[in-house]
Amino acid sequence: MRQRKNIKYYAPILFFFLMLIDGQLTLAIETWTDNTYFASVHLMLLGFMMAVPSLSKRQLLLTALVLGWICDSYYVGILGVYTVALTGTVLLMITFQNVVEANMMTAFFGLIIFSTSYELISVILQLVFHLSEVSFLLFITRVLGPTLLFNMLIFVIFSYPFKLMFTAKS
Amino acid sequence: MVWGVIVKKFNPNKNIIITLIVVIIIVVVVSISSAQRTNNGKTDLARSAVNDGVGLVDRVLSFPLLAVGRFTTFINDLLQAYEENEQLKAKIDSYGELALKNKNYEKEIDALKKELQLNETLTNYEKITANVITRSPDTWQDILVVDKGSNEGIEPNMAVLSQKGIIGRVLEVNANSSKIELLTSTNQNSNHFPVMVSSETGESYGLMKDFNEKEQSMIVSQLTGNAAIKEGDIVQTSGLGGNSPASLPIGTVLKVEQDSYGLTKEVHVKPYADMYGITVVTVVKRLAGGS
Repeated sequence: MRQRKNIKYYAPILFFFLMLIDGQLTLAIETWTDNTYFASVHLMLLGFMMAVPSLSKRQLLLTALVLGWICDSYYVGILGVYTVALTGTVLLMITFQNVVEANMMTAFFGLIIFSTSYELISVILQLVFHLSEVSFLLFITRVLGPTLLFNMLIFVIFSYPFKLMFTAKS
Repeated sequence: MVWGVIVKKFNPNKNIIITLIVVIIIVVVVSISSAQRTNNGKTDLARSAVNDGVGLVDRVLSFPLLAVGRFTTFINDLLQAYEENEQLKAKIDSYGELALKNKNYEKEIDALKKELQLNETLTNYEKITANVITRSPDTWQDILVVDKGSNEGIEPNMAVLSQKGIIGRVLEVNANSSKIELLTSTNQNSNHFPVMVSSETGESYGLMKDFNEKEQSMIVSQLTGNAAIKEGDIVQTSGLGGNSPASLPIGTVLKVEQDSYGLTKEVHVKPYADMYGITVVTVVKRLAGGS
């Protein structure tokens, strides 16, 4: 019971740090691949995915809303893009939890689906509001493909530690 | 009883109403914040405090990665030192003459300014150096976050240079941090640069506004003048328009071609500055008043 309460308090703070680490690691990968491939790191999404069984729906959505707003304000300056993408993806995670049996295999494919939905939602919003011009060929080959590959690797390395960190013990 | 039946018949699906309300809120919020970012780059107190706070935490988190990056750059520089040394030796012979000419030109300009009682010209500017904290993880926005803001004198729309040339403009300013939009941004609302192309037969003035992703070049259009522009001609800011000072280096001409309508020329410019791997920037504050 005590640990469940603790998760409620430290999870949002951890998600915030993971959001910033995602940004720094994404930049590092761009430099490492000599600006050819743009893999986005999604440690925060992995954290949310592992925390879904332990946190209430309200807290998850509120945390996603606030973090998405912070992400929009800090990285882009236009409110709404990451807010909708992150909140929508977390809502998708909550929906999946209700219909799919949770184990490592489903979590692995779940991360692929959620990373794709996150990237697609943010790209579609930018296209709809004319915030940028997106070449879909470039998006698939140099952004989405590397993103999914890299996040699969992230899952293999970090899924178990994150599961321990975000699962409440009764 | 009749009234209850009528209300039940016309009661729409609750989820559809909620979805519509959410969509309206999203459209309004995105439109307002996008317009605010384009028209007035300064943020309100609450957002400025949030951005500065997050920037501070991000600076701490970025330190180990920056240290690794700088060490890698140091090793690369060390390996290339011999080749660079040979190239520099070849250039050093003409350096003395150039330095003397430059000094004489500066004296002449100062004397002329005194005569005309000019305090500033289009080329006068102040420099503010800033470190890059992070870059927008979104590939399509091309925005850098730096660690200087309005407290250090930065204002929206100031030109920004890296080591070699112009890289973009200040997009948004907080108290202790700012966002810089790069020239490579595909943002259709980005501000453009008035440029001058110097060729053997004279100068041409135009507007730099598009980026060609395939060639990695900037496109200059709306050119005035009849000077013959050829590959290798130098492109720099013209200082016209009241925003950026003159003579800031941009790049060299890659090719000249007709636009899609065949009416005007378009010049493709290869920028001096690399748009990736930027760790330090210089924000340029123009001193001469704008028109």
